[in-house]
Amino acid sequence: MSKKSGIMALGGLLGALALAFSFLEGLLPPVPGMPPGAKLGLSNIVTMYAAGSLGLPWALFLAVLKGGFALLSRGVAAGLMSLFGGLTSTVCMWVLLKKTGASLMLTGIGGALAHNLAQLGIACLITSPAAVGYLPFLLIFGVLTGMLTGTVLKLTLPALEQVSKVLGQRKS
Amino acid sequence: MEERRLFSRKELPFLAGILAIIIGLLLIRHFSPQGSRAVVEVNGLVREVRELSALAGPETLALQGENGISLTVEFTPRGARILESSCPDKNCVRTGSIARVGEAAICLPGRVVLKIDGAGAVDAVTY
Repeated sequence: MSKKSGIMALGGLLGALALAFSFLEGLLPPVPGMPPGAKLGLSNIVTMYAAGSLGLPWALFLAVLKGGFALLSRGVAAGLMSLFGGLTSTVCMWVLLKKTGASLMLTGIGGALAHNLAQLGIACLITSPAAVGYLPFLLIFGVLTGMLTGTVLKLTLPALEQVSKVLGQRKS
Repeated sequence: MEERRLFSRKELPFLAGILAIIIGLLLIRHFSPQGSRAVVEVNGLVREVRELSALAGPETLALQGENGISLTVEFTPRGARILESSCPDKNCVRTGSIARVGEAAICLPGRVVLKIDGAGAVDAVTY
């Protein structure tokens, strides 16, 4: 398989994985005590891996795909939130991973916080600045979910590397 | 993507900084006074204002938000909450009852904000 089509196949696989995670997350019942609207952000694992392995353009493509999925399945407000949150967090994670060499956990936390802050910004814009009241909870939850995504990526990285090796992403 | 460390000790100061910000925000929230007034905004415009302390008992209000979403808001002498909403994600309902100055329950699709402000509690809030 040529390298180019291998990368394309990997990108497609990751895209499907991100959408499947988003969908599964939507099925989870809301946990009492969780801040409203908070999600685990499992699909961030996928964009984080894409940012690290396929590069920024592919990772941004995945974020747009996720935003489109949210737009179709959950409406305009959720779509906008997902799109802007996803793009901001993807750029943030790419910078952390590629430019500063941060650890996986810090990258996960940075991505989750960027996601939450971007969404809060959108919420402020389309409703009112009162949305800032959610800030402390979004930060706490961002740190927790970011630790989770970083840890999961650490654990699944060997398996993901196998896949990308088979798809000719790396010559070894 | 190459092997990457899960966590590096050099990054602890960043985490400590984030933690300090969170604790600070929580403290501010904890010490903010009980609000006396509930305000309902739709699309950024004030639709309803209730003096909570002047209420004798629970009072409900039905209102229409943007995008055809209808909500029911309940005011009680001790706080306010969004009782029900026809929006898909019900985040505003799950926010529960709010009573402190600066707290808000927000319905994003309906562009509805229910917030508490404290006339009399503080002179001015600057951001």
